[in-house]
Amino acid sequence: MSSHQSASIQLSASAEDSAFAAMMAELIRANLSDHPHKLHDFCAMHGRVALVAEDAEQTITLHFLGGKLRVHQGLFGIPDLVIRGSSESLIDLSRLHPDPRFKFFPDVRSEVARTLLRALLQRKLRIGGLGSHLLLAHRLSNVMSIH
Amino acid sequence: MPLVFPSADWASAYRDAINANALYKKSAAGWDQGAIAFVCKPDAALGIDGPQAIILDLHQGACRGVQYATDTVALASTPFIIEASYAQWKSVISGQIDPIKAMLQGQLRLTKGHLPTIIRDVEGSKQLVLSASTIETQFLG
Repeated sequence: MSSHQSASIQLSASAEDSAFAAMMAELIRANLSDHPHKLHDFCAMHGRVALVAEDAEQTITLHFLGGKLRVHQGLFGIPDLVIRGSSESLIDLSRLHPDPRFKFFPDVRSEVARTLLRALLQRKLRIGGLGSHLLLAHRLSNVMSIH
Repeated sequence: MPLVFPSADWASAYRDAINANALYKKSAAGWDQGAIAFVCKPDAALGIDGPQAIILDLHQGACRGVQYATDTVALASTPFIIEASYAQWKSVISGQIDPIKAMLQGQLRLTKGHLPTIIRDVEGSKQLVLSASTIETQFLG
């Protein structure tokens, strides 16, 4: 799919009652609308990302299909990336600023990046599959980011 | 003396609690997106026949005013609306549940407004809700 086409973001039938799924779908939809240049990354994404909000006992799977996103309740298939943490940490991921010079990386000087780094070091935030799906993780960070 | 939630007196105390919250003042210093309404859904068992709204006029870390409304007319011009049942507001105000967790669980729902704007100011939103827990509150039921 060309990045000139609009993105398709849908909730699966299983996710229709999931506030977490609806929130993530709305967040990515709004980010792509507010920052159309993110469509390039969105259209290049293929894979499954599980988000586990441990304190809220909520799990969703974002299934990226090259310009299409289906959001599922729970685990759907075998995820390429699994991000586990508190509700607050998962929301903070969408508040990461890109580094102004090296846009592939988050701006580590920001308070939210330091908070997330602390959570990673304390294992309160864990990202499985990062080593083998770095590009998917980078693109996810871009389409989730509100900046 | 405990104040009944929701009521005009509780709403006034809430405005004062927000303005006394130094963390809110700091974290919401950049907020210039207008009012936020907290809406309690009707609950016939508690005698709440229609939606009850507390509309906060927020600007740069301060609450400039508050309106307690029992109809939806006042909400038409409110850019952000967060809605929950009475029981869920009770849990949040009592500090029994974290407001961000409550949003992911669907206990608090943003029913109107731009989600990325709320997320950008999520710490301010959290402090806003936490300010309510400082009010001595009498709950219905």
